[in-house]
Amino acid sequence: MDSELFDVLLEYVNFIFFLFTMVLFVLFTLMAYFSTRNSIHYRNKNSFADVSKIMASPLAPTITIIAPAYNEGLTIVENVRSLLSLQYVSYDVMVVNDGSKDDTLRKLIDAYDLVKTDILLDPDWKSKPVKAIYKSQNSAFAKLLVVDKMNGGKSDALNTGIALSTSTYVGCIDVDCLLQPDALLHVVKSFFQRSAKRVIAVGGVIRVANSCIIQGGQLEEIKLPKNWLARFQLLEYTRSFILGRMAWGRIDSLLIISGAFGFFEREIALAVGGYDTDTVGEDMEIVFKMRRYMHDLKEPYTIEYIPDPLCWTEVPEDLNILINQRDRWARGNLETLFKHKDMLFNSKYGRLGLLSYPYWFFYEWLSPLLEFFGVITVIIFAYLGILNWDFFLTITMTIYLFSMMISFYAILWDVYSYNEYSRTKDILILMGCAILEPLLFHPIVVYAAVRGNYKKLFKIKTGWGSQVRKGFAQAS
Amino acid sequence: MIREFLFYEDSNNKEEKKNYLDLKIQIRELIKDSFDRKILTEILLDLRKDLSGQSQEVLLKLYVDLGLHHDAYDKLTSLRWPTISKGILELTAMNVSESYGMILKLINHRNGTIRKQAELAIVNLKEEGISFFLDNTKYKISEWQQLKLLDVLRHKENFTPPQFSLWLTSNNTHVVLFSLRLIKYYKQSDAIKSIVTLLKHKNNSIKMEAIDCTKEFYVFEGLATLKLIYWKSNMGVKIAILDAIGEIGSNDDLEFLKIAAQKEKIHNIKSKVLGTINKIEPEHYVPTKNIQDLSYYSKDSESATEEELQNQACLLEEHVNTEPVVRLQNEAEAEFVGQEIEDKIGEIDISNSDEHPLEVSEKEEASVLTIQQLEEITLEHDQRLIENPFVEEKSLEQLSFDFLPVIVENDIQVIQEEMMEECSDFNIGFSLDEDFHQETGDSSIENIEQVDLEDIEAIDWNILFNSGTLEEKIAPFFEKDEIANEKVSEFPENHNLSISPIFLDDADLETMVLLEDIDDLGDERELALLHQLLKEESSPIIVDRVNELIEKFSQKYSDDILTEEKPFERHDKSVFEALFELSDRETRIVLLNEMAASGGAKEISLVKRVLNEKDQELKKLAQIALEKISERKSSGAQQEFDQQLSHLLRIDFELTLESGAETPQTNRPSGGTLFDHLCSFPNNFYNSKNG
Repeated sequence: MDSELFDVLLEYVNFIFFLFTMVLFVLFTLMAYFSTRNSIHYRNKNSFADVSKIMASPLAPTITIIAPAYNEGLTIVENVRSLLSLQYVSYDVMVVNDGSKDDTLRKLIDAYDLVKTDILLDPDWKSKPVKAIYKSQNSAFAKLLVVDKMNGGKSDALNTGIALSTSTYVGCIDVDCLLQPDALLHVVKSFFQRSAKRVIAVGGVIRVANSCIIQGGQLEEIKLPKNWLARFQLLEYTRSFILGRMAWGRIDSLLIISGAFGFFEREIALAVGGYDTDTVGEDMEIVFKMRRYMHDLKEPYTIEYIPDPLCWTEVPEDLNILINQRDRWARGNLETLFKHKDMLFNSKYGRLGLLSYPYWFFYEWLSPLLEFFGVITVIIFAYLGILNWDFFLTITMTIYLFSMMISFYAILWDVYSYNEYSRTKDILILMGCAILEPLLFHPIVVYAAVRGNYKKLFKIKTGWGSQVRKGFAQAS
Repeated sequence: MIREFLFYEDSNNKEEKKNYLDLKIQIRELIKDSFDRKILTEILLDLRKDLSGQSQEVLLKLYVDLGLHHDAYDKLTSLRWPTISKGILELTAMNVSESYGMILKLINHRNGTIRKQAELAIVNLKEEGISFFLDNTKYKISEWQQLKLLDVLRHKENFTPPQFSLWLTSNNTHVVLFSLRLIKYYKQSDAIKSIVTLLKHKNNSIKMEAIDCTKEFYVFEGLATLKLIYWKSNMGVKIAILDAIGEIGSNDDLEFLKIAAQKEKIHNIKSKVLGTINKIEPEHYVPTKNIQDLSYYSKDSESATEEELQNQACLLEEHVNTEPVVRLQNEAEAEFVGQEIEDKIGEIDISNSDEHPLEVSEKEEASVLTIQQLEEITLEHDQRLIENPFVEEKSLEQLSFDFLPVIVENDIQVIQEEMMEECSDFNIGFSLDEDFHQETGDSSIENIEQVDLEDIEAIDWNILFNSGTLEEKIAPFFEKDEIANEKVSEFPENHNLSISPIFLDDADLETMVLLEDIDDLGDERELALLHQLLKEESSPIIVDRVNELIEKFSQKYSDDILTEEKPFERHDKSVFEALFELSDRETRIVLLNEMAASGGAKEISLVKRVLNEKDQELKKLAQIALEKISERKSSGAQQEFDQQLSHLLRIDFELTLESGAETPQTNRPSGGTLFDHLCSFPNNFYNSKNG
């Protein structure tokens, strides 16, 4: 009896794994299709657009770039200089020093000739107290505003920036990111191009800047990272941004805007209370909130996604830092999905509730856990001698080849669209990474995700972790 | 090959012309192939971006000459939207105005990209394109498209914008919105009624633009509507309304703003309301946050009654509140200082300690002096203090703060306004250059006041009351601030300087303005006028100024006399004389003809001399010239005088009504106004007399 029950259970487990895998195949195939269509459409449409037109237009909207800084003394001056040299008429840069313990603030004061100024913050706005606000005495840096506040985390710093800004749009970026000079022009175009829908947020691709040559805050030469960990991440980013988000953008179901490069309509961001300070996945959470808010308002809206390479960042080259980062992402995922659990299969939210949220739930959050338990199950079954080796090998190879194929397609499409890595050697290396990634890099990501979920579920206290960056200045 | 075409000039030699024709034949052969044609089109499109001026014109002509635009026409009939868009883009870039009619049909195309390209094209190709577009577009116009259309219009040469108010009644709200923006951009202030009506529009974007226009064109008629729509507007619109009221509002709007200040709960709006009130009536509300309780300074005044002490404390607090920024380094410091003061004050209680800006109550108003009285007291006190610090040292202990400026309303406000008006008159009297006035004029007095006020919070008042000389006591106040040090150093060492405004009546003010004009523009010719003014005027300021100018111009005149060699003798000598003597015979004939045609009395002596020459032809011409000059001299004397007079009284300007927005006062070029013409009358007269 027990043996029969066990057999039935096994059959069910097999079926669930099979179904899960098939749905994954279908979803990825569809994603490849939608992203391709979106990319072609984007390219056709933008061949007629000249974003430089906006440069001196009296109709150009105001934008505040908010860059939270915590212990960024090594690179802060150079990074801020890069932000101040963007091509746009009507923007300002607000660096929020989130209680740094190093000399971040001192360096900024010295480099940009800052003096204290008085700007009142709404006393009802919930964020950690602001110690002082600085503006530059030098008119060349008139766009710069530095907010010195008590430490409250990235979300808290961003919230302070949103509350202090008076611009129509706010850009929340990582201060160590390098923006292309025309980044804001593209962002404004994305906000402005729709007439039927209100564009509440704009996100973009994050490209990997490791080993690139950067001088004076400008990207001089794009190079493939020398570090293997960074190369794997580059492949992962390419797949995720070029295929994944492009596809979700095509069906207007994008649920995440990267914290390194996200722009929001300030009015809506304020209306939803800004970033959630109780989660480490604040970038995803604010998009959920804003979408729900607009759904409740029943006002046509959308979130735009820019595939052009506008934002470059350093990815971790150290294994521990990488694991910490992915651990945090997993926790953020779980926290956000749990907070908005009522959206799951909720038809009220349309595609978001029926497609986008379930995808995130099953394939972004649950998938690593299933993989982990799958591996354990395989080991146990193999040990017990009950493993169906034919089925196991077939499905494993299928998944492996399929993932390789998707990676190749992402590389191909990236080369075709943007041709960032034009050397044949670089492309071959990336293809090599695509072959090795499921075997070497993916297990690390799965481990980090499981660790993150474990910490969250068992309430093991942990924070953001830290990333020791080389800094663009040093890299150059 | 293309370079040869673009930079070919007609004046080139035959060989080059032959080469040019050969190239033309060659290129025509080449473009028979569609691929070559495509490549050539792309090259020309690329070049179009890089070239300008005549080369660009040649390029555009070449494109049409080679018939490449027919390919673009074919693209317009394609079924694929990218191809159609490309065709429109090509025709627009190459400025093929013949394609206007074909593209017109596409402005309501269901494909957004084609539609947008067509809109840009028709606006680009012909001046009437924008009118056609606004008349006929059925679709929404995205913000990006509006931005691009405006960009096209902005860069159009010799573009005369139509009256965009015509489209304010359009059924398409996007057309209305875009028209409002164009009205604002082109400063067309002829649609006031429509703008006021649009303030009540349901669409917030239109409402916002209408508010902006109201502010831009100073539409005072819109104020009532602005106040009406305020209460049901969202935060963005409310802030825009407050901005507009701040710009064009008056004291009549204060009541509305005060109600708004009471009712508004949102911090940003409330701050904006208070800011607007202060903009209309400066320092109506004053900062109160983190302000120290300074009643301590009245503690030792034993003779004062408790009531008096409270009044003093209130006044002092008001005074401190006028400081624009009062801030302690950190909260801990604030707490410490506050505690220290509290301990010392003990019995004195200050009621106004909440965080919100406060208004002076009527009761307080009654107990305070007028601004003028306060100033007199202040100045008197300062003067005494500077003249005899040691005598005043004792009285400092009983220092009364009644002299500190206060913010008052109603009756006192009227006095204040009058004084403000007089002050502004005073400023004009001493500096006509507004920019200079802004940069330097206001700062000197205000900064001195500001230095004192800014440092009040940081002052350790115990130093004043306990020991040391006055100079020692005052020194730390100024050491606090570099600006203060600069200001101190500007004072003469004996410190016998008191700063007080001098108020002039209207007539005196006008005279002072005239004198400033004379100073700027006049020369020794104004001496007569200045002497006359000296006799007529009694005001010592004017007399001083006139004397100053007389001295200046007399000096200048004498310098000119010394440096100039027989200045008036030059006028009696013919301009032809020097030239005549150096010329050959041919030139002399020409000069004599000239003299016959246009010469005057000055030429007579020269012509007479020529009559003595041997050359018969010259003699004959000289005779003719002499006759003509004599004839002209006798018959034209009266006419000449009339001409001179008419020239003198000629008015070459028009008195037209111009909108304030189009001709901002600050940027008006000098010499264009009626006043400038009147001022330059003596100069014209002098020039017409002396040539």
